[in-house]
Formats: sequence, structure tokens, C-alpha cells
Amino acid sequence: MTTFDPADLLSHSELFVPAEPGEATALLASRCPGCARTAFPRTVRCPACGTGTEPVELAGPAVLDIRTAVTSAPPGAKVPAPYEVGVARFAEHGICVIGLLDGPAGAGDPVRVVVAEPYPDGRIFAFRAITDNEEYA
Amino acid sequence: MRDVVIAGVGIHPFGRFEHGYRELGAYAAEDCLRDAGMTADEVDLVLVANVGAEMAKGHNVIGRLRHIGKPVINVEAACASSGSALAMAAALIEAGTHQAILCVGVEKAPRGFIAASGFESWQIDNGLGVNPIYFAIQAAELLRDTDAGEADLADVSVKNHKHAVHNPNAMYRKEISRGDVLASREVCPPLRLLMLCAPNEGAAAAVLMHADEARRRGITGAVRLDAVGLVSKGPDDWFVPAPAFPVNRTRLSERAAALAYEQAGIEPADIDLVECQDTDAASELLAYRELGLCEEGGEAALLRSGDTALGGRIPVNVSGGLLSKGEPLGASGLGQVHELVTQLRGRAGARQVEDAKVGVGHVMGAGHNACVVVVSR
Repeated sequence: MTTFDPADLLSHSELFVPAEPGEATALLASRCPGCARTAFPRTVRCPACGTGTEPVELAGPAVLDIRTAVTSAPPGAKVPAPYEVGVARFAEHGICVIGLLDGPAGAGDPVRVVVAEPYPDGRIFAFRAITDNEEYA
Repeated sequence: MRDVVIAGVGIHPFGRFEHGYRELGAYAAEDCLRDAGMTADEVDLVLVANVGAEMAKGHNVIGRLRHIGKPVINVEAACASSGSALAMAAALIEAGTHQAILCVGVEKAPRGFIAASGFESWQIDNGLGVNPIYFAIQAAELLRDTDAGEADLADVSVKNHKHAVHNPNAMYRKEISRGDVLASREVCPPLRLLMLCAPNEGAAAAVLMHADEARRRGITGAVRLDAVGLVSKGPDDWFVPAPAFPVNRTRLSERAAALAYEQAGIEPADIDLVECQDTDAASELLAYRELGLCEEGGEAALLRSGDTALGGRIPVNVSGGLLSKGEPLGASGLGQVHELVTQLRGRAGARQVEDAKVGVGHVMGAGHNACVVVVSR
């Protein structure tokens, strides 16, 4: 059994590889060598089985499983409504992630992870449809 | 769960009121104690379920009734707060350490989206910290993976609002049409305003006892509490506020139901009525599957058959459900228990389920909590 430093639980991982708005990025996740589950955001130990994890990046392409939207601003949100939200499935990692959509995308579309600026100086990951004339990363 | 009974229930209607949470809670508690023929000082312990009030809220509620000098413990588990209080109370009664425990659920929730559901600041800043997104994802999956359509989502609301006409404790008591629902504004597609419940205000209470204690007190109309199946997040579950989930995920409510049915020694076929967490219309359809009322994919067919309407084989949310009652978070689970007990006693008037003997309540809440309760007579 692996023991952990409790101090590991005080820190938290960044969400994505830093990049400029509009540029491609990757989600900073972790993978468990014990049970093979992926966690996002990244964790030090596997929340399912307690094994120490390995870092993994989710760059896609992913598939947009679900597309929805928010039509009026929720409490505390800095993003002006309406805006679109989707669920991207990273099949090879067995994980689905909820995020903002960057530009038009429909359910079933292949998407990549990009950095968005949904409000002034805000930086967050988002999913953008991969167009036909664009090569898959 | 052996020999635990609900000796009395009480409720303050759900809606919007001028008075504060203390008054709402005290009203429901007194209504409950009167129902059981007791006074506040006769209980050994009070558990108060509430999400959003203040410190020592239960103490402030009970202080309105009597200064009982006994322990008051506040319980919070989002929409499963009431269920969590019941689980603890039932275990203590069963263990024999307590003779009578009063459970009170109370809430005075602000209008609109529920804030503070446990989201990280990055989710809130970026507009991802809002519960209906989660309900919409489940709804969209249901529409994609089964033959359920938007009309079915609308018809869940139509059914529950029709039931609520006969419930004086519900917030909305007018019938609505499928057209009304489909014409209401989109909140998070495919969910529209009239497919979502409104967080609101209200309170409900139940007093639990050992069956022998209830007999000793000469209490009539006690209903057995056969099971409380309470679960939190397992490795492959997903709900508010988690930003990611496994491709192959498991369902909290399914596990809570399995636990409860095993404790109670029942099967879904034994159930006469269900009060489930219809936070949104799709959640009710999903609950049909999770509670074992139908197979996966059979949700819409079960609704369309009329079986889940009053007069049907297995009526669901004859109280009007959260869609019509509104959802005072801390009180919603005990509100369900109030309805189930009223039904099992045969005192539900125009919304009475004929010859109801076994009732099931189901709540599911943020932070990954689900609770399924089985009551019988």
C-alpha cells in the first residue's frame, strides 16, 4: 500500500496547458495505473481505488456527445448568457468532460480542446468543432 | 430495518411565504407532534435537515416550540438532507438507544437557480456551475438513447401538475397542457421552464419510534419505515457538481434503491406508489428505470401507458411532485414521507391511491447523494 503526504491534498492542479485564446490546448488529467480510470481535474491519488496516479493530457480529438446551452446567467457567472455547453467524450481515456463550446458544434461532431476567453481576461478550456479541411491533431 | 415506525407526520405547505425558516420549521414540527399526540419535550433527539439557513438552524427552529434540553443535530446533504436525517434516526431507533426522534426538514430557498451547489470557482466563473446543465445532459442522453421525446418530457409535467390540483400543500395547483410546457422558455435545452422544479420554501416533519414504543403510547395510524437506502458517490457515479464522468457510469439512485429494497425485502412489483425526485421531467423518467419500475428504454412507454398517473398501476408523484410542489431542498424528502404516510393511512382525499400498502420515496442531490425510503402498513 502506498502512503501519501497529506500535503498533496492541499494543492490543486491547473485545468489545461496554458495557451493563448483560440489556440489548441490539452486538459490536465490523471490516469490510474491500478484501475485504469482517468480523473479530471488531475488528482494525486485515484479517487476510485487510492493508487498513485500518472499525469495524462487529454488533447482529443474527442466527440461531442451532448450539446446544451444556458439561456440566462446563473449566479456568480462572469460569462454573459446565452452560451453553449457540451459534453466531450475522450473515448480512449474512458472519460467525458463538461465544458463551454467555442463556436458552432453539434452532437456527434469531432472536437478539439482550445483555450477560450469567455469574458475579458478570462481563460478556460472549451471544445471547438474540427472542420473538414483541418487535420486531426 | 425492523420495528421502526413513523408515529406522526407534519407539513407546512411548499411555496413562497412572508415568515422565516424558523416559523416554517416550527409549524411542521408542531403539526407532526400533534399528529403523534406528543409534545416536543417527549422526544429524545431532534434532527433538522436544512441546506441554506444559518448556524444552529435546527436549534432556532426547535427553540420556537420548547426548550427541550435534548440534543438537536443539524443534517445537510443537499436534496438528500431529509433522507440523511431519516437514515440516522432509523438506525438509532433500531439500535435501541433512542425511543422517539423528531426529524424536521426546512428550507427557505431564494428564487431562481440554486447557488452554492458545491461547484469550484472556475466552474462558477465560466457559467458551468449551474444545476440545470446537469439535468439537461441527462435529459439529452435520455432523448438520444431511448424513444422518449420532448412531448414525453412535457407530459411528465402535465401529469404531475394534474395531480397537484388535489394537494393543498403544493405551490402550483393548476393543470397545464403539453402545449403550455413546450411553449415555455428554454432554460437548458432540451429542458424548458415548465419541465423544471422551482426551488422554494416549506417544511415537513416525521417522528420515528420503535413499534413497541408506539404501541405503549397508544398511537394509531403508525406506518412502518421498512428501509432507508442512502448512498454517496461511488467510483463511477456522476452528478452535480462533478465536471467529468466515466464513459460507462453507474447510477446512485439505482444503488440506493437496491439497498432499500433489500432492507425492506420487497421487489419493485410490490410497490403501490412512488414519490420521486422530479427535479426536472427527465429525472422522473430516469427514476422509473433506476427504481426498477421499468427496464432501460421503457421509461416513456411506462409514462404513456398511464400506469404512473393517479388511478394507474404504479402512480408516481401523486402529490404533484417537485415539479408542482416546488423544492425546498432540506424539506423535500420529508415532504415525500408526509405524502406516503398520508396515502398509506387512506387520508389523501381526491388524490388517494386506492388500497396503498407500500410506498417508496426517492431523492437525489448535489454532492452525489441519493436516498430511497420504503414505508408500508
